[in-house]
Amino acid sequence: MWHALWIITKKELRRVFTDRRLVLTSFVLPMVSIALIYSLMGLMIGRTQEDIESHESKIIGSHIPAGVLTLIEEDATMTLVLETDDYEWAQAKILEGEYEYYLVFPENYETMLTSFENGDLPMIEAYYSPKSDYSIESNYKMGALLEAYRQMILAERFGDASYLEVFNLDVQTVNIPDANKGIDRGIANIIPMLVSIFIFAGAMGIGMDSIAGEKERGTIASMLLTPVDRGVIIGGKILSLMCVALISMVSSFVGVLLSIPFSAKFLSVSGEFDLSQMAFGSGDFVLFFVSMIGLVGVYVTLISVLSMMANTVKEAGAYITPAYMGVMIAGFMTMFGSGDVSSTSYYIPIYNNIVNMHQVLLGNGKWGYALISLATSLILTLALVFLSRHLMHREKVMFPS
Amino acid sequence: MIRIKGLKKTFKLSSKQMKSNKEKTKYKHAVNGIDFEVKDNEIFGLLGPNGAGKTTTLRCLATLIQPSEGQINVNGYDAATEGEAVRKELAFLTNELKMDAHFSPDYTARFFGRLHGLTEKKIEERVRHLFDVFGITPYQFTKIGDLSTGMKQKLAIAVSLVHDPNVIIFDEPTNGLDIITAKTVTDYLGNLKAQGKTVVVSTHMMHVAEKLCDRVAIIMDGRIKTVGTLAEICQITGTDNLDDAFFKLYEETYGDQV
Repeated sequence: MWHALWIITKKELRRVFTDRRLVLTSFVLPMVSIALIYSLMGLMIGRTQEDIESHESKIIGSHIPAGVLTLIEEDATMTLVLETDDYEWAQAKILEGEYEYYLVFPENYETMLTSFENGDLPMIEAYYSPKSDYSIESNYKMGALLEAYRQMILAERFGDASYLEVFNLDVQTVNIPDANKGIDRGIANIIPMLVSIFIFAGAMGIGMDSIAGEKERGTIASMLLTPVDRGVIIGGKILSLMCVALISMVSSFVGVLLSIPFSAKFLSVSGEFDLSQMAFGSGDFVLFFVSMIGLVGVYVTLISVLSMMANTVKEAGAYITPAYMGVMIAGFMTMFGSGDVSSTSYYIPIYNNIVNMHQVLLGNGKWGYALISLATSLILTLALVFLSRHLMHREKVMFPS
Repeated sequence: MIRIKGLKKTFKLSSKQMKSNKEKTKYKHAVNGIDFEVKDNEIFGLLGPNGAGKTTTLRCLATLIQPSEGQINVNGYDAATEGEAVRKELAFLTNELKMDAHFSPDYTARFFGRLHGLTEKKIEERVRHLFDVFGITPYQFTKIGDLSTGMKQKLAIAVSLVHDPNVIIFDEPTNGLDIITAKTVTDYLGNLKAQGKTVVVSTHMMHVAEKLCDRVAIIMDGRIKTVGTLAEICQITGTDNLDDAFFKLYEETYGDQV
């Protein structure tokens, strides 16, 4: 049995790896296209950010005091273009995008400043458009500028503005290698989803061709005439498909890694990602791999069962697409939330492995949960293997006409 | 030696199949109680129109599908309980079975030889012999997808025979072949018989049956109408040749709706 299993596995792998078209579409293209798309997205997002940050905000104002004027003049990224009291006109111009910010001081602002002891504080009005990135950025910049201006006024009033402070707050990020706790949260959120989708996508195309395609072409029936058990035939196909799915996933993942210098802009929370900063021990890698293997088993056998039920590759595609959507949803579910996971989640196949990978990347991986997930995946995988074998013996499935 | 006794095969039809086949009931009796024996050193022909039950009978014989009733015995092995042993004994060739167009004839033949449990030495010997007989050697490393239809058919025959089976079942073996290739195939079937093998051939070409078969069974509507040598069939039906015998039985079964 094992010898026949090995012969069939080898044949299936040979079928894939000697077909230049399959190698190109299953391993090379995903890697290249992911690297290109992610790099391009990172570059575009980076450029957009740089453009917004370097853009000179065009401010319009009304009764701008001298102190604020000086601060605006000192800021190279802001220009006070004109002053007007016409609110409607100013707001229309901001909506049109001609100007980005409208700052209105009261006409008697200076008087109000000096008579502050009456408790009659001047009201400064500001307008910006949340539809425009430039206008949003102007709002941030003007907020910082007005805060500096407030400090100036306070210093003038009390001689030293620090009288008004109780303490200074120094907030710093914890350097991950020192804390030995996982990797950047943004990357940790997205990697399990990508790994899950890459494994499924890698197995999907070849799985459909290897099973439904062989049924459609009549090549699987030739194997049914040999003295090999039908379970061994489907077993060989499943084993080879597992190898293909893993290799395809690695290739797609290499694509993501290649894009990191550019894609970190949107993948990482900090906007940067340095592989050398990863605080990962060999145990973490094993935990991650265990979760991945669980996914490979379930996905490959699921694809095999659905392909077995189909008579053509097209029909298999129709059966597998909803499963693919389910896989994507399971991946997205781990991307959001606080990171706290209930222990029951580890009993839900597919989702549990993705959650495990997520936890490992956050530095919270636990062997107990990983083994529970692996065990549930193994049970489901075996059930699907038996179902595949059962379907191989069903005449209606193998010879539907 | 093949022994078939009371073979029945009933298919449950879906409502879609009922509509397309114009069937009134949910169950189609493709084979409805067939008995025959094929001896060693004999070529046995199964003759019948499309849908008569030839292919279903052969599929049951090859263990691809299970009979609903009846027994099939191949060289002492029961097809229902000893499927693997039966498949070791026989070669089955039908147009439905195809070979992966991506591989070469050499790889394909060796792959099937290995699945049949042959040693590498035996595989080498068989592949050389069969490729020489069918003229495949010059194309042994060409992709199957690039071979002509005739060459693909010859390769299919060679691959089905790679394990040197004792029982050979060919469904329409000369269908779609040019006259020269067809002769190569029929000559080789003669050779197999001379080697003491049991050969079953299904065909609807009377001249092939007349020329090739020692005995013939005419199957219609899932039942064997008559079985015997050419002379015996002519005598039973009161005709001069197989063509006339076939049409006489056809009219008896289906009326005059030819």
